Amino acid sequence: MLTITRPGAVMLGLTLAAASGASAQVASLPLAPSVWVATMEPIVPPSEETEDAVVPPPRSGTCTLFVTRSGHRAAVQCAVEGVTPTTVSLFAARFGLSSQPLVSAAIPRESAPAVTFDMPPASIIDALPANEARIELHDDSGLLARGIFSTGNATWTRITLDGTQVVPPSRSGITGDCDVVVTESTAGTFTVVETPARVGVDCALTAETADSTNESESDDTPDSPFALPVDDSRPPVAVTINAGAAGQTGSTLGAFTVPVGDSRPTVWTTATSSLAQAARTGAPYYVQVGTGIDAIRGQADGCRRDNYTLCLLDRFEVTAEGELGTDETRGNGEAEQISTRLGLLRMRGIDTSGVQINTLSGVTVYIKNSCKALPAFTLQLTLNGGTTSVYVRDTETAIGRTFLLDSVTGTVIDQTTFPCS
Amino acid sequence: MTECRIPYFRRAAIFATLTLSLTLSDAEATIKQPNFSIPAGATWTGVNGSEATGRCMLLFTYLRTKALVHCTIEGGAPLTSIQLWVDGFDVPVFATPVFGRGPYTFTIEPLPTVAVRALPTGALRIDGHTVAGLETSGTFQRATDAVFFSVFMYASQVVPPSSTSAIGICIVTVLGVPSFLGVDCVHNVPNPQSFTFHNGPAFETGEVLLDFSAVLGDPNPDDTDDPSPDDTDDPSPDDTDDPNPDDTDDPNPDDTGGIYLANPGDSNVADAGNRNPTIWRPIDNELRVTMAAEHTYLRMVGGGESDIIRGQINGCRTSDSSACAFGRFMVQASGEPTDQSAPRLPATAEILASSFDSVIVDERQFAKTATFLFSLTADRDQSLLVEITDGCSSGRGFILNVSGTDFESYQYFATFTDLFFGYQDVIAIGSGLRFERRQAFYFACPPPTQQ
Repeated sequence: MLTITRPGAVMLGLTLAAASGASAQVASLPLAPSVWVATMEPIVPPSEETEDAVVPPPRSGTCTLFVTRSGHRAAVQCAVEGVTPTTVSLFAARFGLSSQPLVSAAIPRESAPAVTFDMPPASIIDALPANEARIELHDDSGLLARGIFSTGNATWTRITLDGTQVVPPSRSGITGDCDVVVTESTAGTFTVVETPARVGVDCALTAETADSTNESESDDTPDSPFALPVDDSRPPVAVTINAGAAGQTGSTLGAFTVPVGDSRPTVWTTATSSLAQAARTGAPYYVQVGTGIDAIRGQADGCRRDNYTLCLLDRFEVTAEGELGTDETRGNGEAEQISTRLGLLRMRGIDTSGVQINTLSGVTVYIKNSCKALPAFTLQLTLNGGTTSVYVRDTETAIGRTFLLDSVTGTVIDQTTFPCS
Repeated sequence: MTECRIPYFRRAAIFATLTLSLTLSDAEATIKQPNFSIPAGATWTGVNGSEATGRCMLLFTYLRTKALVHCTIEGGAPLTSIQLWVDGFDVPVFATPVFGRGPYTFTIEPLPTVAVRALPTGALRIDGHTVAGLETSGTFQRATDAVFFSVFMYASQVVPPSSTSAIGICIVTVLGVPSFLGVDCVHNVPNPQSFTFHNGPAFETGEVLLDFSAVLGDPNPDDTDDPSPDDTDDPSPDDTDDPNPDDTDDPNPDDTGGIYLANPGDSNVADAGNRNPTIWRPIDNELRVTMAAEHTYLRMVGGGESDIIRGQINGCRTSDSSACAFGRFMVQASGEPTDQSAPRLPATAEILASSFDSVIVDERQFAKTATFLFSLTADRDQSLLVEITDGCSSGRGFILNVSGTDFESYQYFATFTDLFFGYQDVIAIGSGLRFERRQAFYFACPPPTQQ
């Protein structure tokens, strides 16, 4: 969705959709898992600074932090070189919090610097949006590298899974949803270590009692490998991400395993280039959890969200073009969903009224599903200086409209409606 | 006349400087408060045939370091443990043994992120257990009648002013039903000795109403929760004991430098455990009324004889129907929906864009913007979006306007108050317009604070 149209200008895709039939329970879930990146500053021991001047300075690395949607788990992966840290510690540089680590974990000896924190404290997670969370890598000799987390650039896709989407359909009565988050890789330079693309999978699965076709003797027996760990000796559950449209199967883009008995399984690992490509380009892919008769599957088609694109459901696309911001605290045209509460689908009598406010830097879009009352979707838009135009398109009816910036006032305020069907 | 006005102006300027520097500056280690403390309550009802009833009140501190919980129960068997659950998880996110018949007070520290995120969705539950099993259960809901004060404690508010550069910042939370008080502070007073809550207007002294000193330096501050709200046993306020009353002429209001103390290695910093004292306790209605009249203040005394700071609990406050913008403006909204939405609320304020604090004005200038949503019905389907922009960096002053509405037919009022200059104006819409935006009001930037 991101297209460079001219130096310093960006094409921004903002895909919005009005709620249409989603349950309030699903809509009220927290937004999405989040990704944060820290550029790691290597700490050079004083004694090494005076050694042979031919030795190049150590390159900085990166650590990426993945926080699940519910906040129940956080995982860190680091790309650093020349050091072998044994401990990862997170700090919050907020007033009132000490310089002591808020959370710390040992790095498994056999792995790259990667750790997972279960039930991370809110004090560190809440400090992330304010760029006040810090990570340090230590070994027995002391501090090796440190960095401050900031918003990571990634692509998010929300996928709803069930057994009917499996090819052929499975018997599983489990449903759930998974967020797939894929970060972009960054090339190494003389001063910075290469950072591979990462993939995060964050699922919330609901085990249901066996259906009538299940041969289970008891309705209380979960038919899911993700329910209570009845047998810990069972192998871990397979999670795969595969290329392919609905009703089809395709090549594997990523294969992972999660422990059995975890109804909120997560993955945070290095992504293949093909998976990163699929996530970024909008190519259809699907997530499958489990195998055989217990498998469930969900499809990712089209709509993606990234730092420049807000994707809610799958109907309205709002594209803003122009320089959306140059201040120090935000990147150009970063999209931000500013209200989780407004993401709710609201039921008022027989009327279905969904509303969503989203903002880019300088653009506020406000869309409401008023189809029961008018009947039309209502879209309101406020566009402040910096952006040149905003294009709104209804992907279902292919009706579009362009809003232009008033060069005198630097502001556009307008509203429009789209037919419901 | 001038002699009377200058001190007030200076005090106001210092207050504004403090407030603006805390909320607007991008400087290193300044405080950003994306949220206030979060109060919530749960009604306990008996389960498994129990006749137990009760209530639990909870406060998430604004640094999210901990949750303070206060529970009372009547009937049923004595509880032996209390557990906090998040829907969808198989194990409690917190559990603690309890004894007797309450009130039960405890602190959840560290506070799991999952508990904070579960509260808005109604997925946070508190269960009371007896030796026989589950006795009572209730789901937390965010308190809807909370009023938040941002209280800045510093030397100039002490009577007479002290000379310390220490500073404290507290979020004071007041609930109406039930009457509860939350005090959630950070400070850098060296070796703090006492922390008290006083009755008295600004720049006057008053008696001690509550003594919070026990939470200073106590690694288990929940132990200090006193179920009795009438701690008026200290009648001897010592605000007048400051031995350095002659520092009042300091023209440099940069005492706010204390807010940068988060730098590691600052030796003038109190122990980590002392820097975030928190209190969460019931209060009586009389005290709440006194607070509403802005006749209360917080006072902290450190180890040095001049280490005294004080902060009046007054000024800009945030509640369901009003929001503080940049610590200077108060935005209030009310209205009357004309359709079938019910029940109707005056307005429920929500700061939408804490991190969306900048917007481009033109190619070379930018302004900071805060956006507030006032939901005017219980199911939040009719809302008023209010925007305030700080354009002082570009000489445009403050701009206040209504940037959006979400209703078919409505009559609303949005009142903007400049607490600095005491100016107030109102936007009123009665035509039921779906969308109304106006460049409503321009307010001047604060005068330079450096003399």
